Amino acid sequence: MSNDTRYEVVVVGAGPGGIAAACCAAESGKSVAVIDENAVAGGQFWRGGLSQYGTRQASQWLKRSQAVSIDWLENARVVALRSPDTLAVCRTDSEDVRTVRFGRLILATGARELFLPFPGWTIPGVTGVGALQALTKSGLDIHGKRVVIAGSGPLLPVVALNLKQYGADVLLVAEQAPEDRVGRFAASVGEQYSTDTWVERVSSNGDGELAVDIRQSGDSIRVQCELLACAYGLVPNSELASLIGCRVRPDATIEVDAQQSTSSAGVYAVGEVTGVGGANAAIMEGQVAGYAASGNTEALEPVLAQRDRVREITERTYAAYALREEIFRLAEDDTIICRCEDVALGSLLSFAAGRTAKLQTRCGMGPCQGRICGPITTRLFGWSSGSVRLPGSPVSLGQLAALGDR
Amino acid sequence: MSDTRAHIVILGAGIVGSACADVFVSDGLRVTLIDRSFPGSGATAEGMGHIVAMDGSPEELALSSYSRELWHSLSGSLSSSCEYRRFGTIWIAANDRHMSAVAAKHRVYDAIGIESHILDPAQLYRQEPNLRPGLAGGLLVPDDVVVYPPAVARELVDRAVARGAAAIFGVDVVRVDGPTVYLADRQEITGDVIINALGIGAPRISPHVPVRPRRGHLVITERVPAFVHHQLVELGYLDSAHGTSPVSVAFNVQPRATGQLLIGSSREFDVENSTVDWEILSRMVRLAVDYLPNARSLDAIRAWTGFRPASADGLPYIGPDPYNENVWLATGHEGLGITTALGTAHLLLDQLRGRSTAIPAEPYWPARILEESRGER
Repeated sequence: MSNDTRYEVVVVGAGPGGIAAACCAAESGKSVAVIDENAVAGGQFWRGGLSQYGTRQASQWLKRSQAVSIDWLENARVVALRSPDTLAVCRTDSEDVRTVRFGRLILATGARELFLPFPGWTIPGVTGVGALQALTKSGLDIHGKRVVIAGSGPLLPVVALNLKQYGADVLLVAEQAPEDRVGRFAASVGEQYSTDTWVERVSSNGDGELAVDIRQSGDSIRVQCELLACAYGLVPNSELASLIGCRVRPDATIEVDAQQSTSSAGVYAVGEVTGVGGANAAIMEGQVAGYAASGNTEALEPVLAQRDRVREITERTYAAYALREEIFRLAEDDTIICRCEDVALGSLLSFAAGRTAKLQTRCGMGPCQGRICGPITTRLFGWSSGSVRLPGSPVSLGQLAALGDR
Repeated sequence: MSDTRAHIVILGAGIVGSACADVFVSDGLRVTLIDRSFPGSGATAEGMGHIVAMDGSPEELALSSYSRELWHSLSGSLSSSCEYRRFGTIWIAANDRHMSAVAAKHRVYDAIGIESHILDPAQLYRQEPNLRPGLAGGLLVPDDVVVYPPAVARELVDRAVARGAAAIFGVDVVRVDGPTVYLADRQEITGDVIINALGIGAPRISPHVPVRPRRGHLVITERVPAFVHHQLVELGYLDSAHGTSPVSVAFNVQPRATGQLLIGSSREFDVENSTVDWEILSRMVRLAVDYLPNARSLDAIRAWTGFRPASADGLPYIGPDPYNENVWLATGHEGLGITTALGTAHLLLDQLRGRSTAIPAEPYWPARILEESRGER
C-alpha cells in the first residue's frame, strides 16, 4: 500500500464538470487531486484530452488547468470509501492500490448510455452510439462502412457528423422523438436524420451484414447495414455516490442542493450524475461545486445564476427527447435483458420485485453488476435498482487484499 | 400426531421453513407457510450453499450427515436452477500438525460410513493445481455438495404449493398467541402446531430463545471455470466456526456452477450493521490469495455480508418450545442451515407424527438450553 496523501479537495472524474471543479478549487487556493479512469483527462466529451479540441471552451479550460497546481491521478479507479474521509483507489493499468484522503469530495462521475432491448440488440455489429464514437476515436476503421445510428437525444446527430468525418456512410439517423420537438437538429445532419423513427428489430445474415427493421412515421422499412449504433440517452453513474451514502433518486440521479452539495456532508456532485444536461451544464456545476467546496463565496455568487440559466435551457432541450411507450414494448420473450448472465425477458415476467428476480435468475449479478440491465428493468418493470454492493467497479482480489493492508 | 390432516403453520420461508413445508406436505399434513418477503430471501440468500458433513461435535456430525443423505436422495428431482453439484470438499492441511488432524478426521468419518480419502501433497496438487506449493496434504470428502440456496428454497416451496400447501408471502408475523398467528395485514391463522423457522428473527416470536446474529462476509469473482474443483476449506476452519472469539477468518473457497469463485469466510458476533468491514474483507481475501496465488489477478465483482442464526451451544434448536405448547422451534442453525434443513424437517415430522426418528432427536431439543435458562430465573 502506497501513501495516503491528503488533499483539501478531491474530484472523481476528469470530464468537463470535474475539470472545472478542480480548476476553481485550485484557483481558490486549495490542494486538489483529480482521479480518473482514463489515461488522459477529458472524460467522454473531451475524450483523448483537451489539447485535441480546437474549441474556445476546450482551450480556455486547458489554459486554466495548466495555470494552477492539480495532482492528476490517471488510470485510477475509486473502489469505495476506505474510511469516512479516505478513498480506496485502484490503478486500472497495474495491480497498485492506494488511498487518498480528502477534506471535500466532488463527484463528477458522468453517465453511461441507456440501452433498451429490442430483438437482436445483443448481436455482433450492434453498439452504443457513444460507444461507436469512442471506438472510432481510438482507432476503429469505419471508412466506407454503412452505419445506422438510432435511439434518441442530441448525441445522435453529433456522432453522425463525426462518423461521416471519419468516412462512414451514415445511411440513417433514427430519432424516436417527434419532429415538432427536435426538428432543429435535423438541419445539421441533412436528409438522413429522421424523426418519429425507431429500430424494431435487427438480425444478422452471417456475413457481417445487418438487416435492421425500422418503424418510420408509421411505416415499416428494412435497412441493410454493417453497423447499428443505438442508445436512448444517458444513465447517471451514481454507484460510487450510493456506496458513499449520498441520497440517489429512483432515476439514478444524485440529489444536490443549490451549491451542488449532496446529502452527505462535504460531498458534492456535478454534471450528468445530477441529471443529464450536457457539457455546458456540467462546466457550470463544476464551477459552483469547486468554489463552494473551497468556501470561496465571492467567486461562487456570480456562477450560481449562470448555472441556473444553463440548467434551464438544457432541461428544456432534453425534455424534447422523452421516450415513447412503443420503445419499451419491443423486447420479446427470448430477447436478452441481462447480457452478463444471459437472462431473457420471458424468465423475468413472473417476478414482482427486482430483488426476487435477481436472486432467482441472476439478472444483474454479472460482472457489470446491473449497470446495463438495471436501468432497463427499472424502465420496463418499475423495479428499483437495489443497493449497490462493494466494490463500486470490478477490482482484482490482489488489490482487494492490499486495500485492507494497513 | 394422530390427526393425519393436522394443520401446521410454518413461520419463515428460508431454507429451513421451505424444507419443512415440502416434507410435511409430502406426508399428508396441511401446511401454511408464511414469510414477510419471499422464499430464500434472508440468510438463505446470503450464504454459501455448501452441504457438508461437519464434525464439530458428534451431534453436529449426526445431523449434518443424515441431512446430507437426504439431499443426495432429493437431488434427482431438483431442477437445473438449483445448481446442485457434488463437487466434494477438500479439507486442506497446511502443515504436519494439520496432517495429524486429517488422519483423525478421516477416522471420525470412517466410523459413521462417510467416504473420505487422505491426500498426500502430490494427490492434493493433482486435484487442485492452483493451490500454493508447500502444503502438507488434505482430506477429500467426495460426496459433499454445492447448491444455489435461493433457487432451492423457491423450488421446495413451489413443490409444496403444488401439493396443496398455502403460502402467504410479503406479510409479516406480528405475534403468536396460543395456536393463533397474527399477521400484519390483520389475518389470523390458527394451526395445530406453529413452527418458528424465522432464523435470526426467531426471538421476535419466541423471545426466550437465545439466537444471536453472527455476521459473515463473502466475495464472488468473475467467471473462471475449473479454477478449483472442490470446495476448499482449511483445517483451521473448525476453530473459526466453533470458537467464540469476536472475529475469526478462515480460508473457504467454493466453485460455483457458473464458474465463479465464492470466497469466505468470516465470523463476528454482536455486529448488527451490514456494511462491509474492510479489515475483515481484506483479511479474508488475503487468506484466499495466500492459498490460491493465481487468484490474485481475478476480478472480485461483489462483496456482501450476511447474518447466521447462532444458537447458545452451536447446535440448532429443533423441537418443542418448552414455553409455548403450540410452538415448535426450527432455528439456530448458524452456518449449517442449508446442510441441515432437510434433516431438521424430517426430525420434526417424525416427532410430530410420534414416530421414531432416524437419529436421536433429544440433542437438538430447545429444552436443553431453555430449561436451563428457566431454572436460572
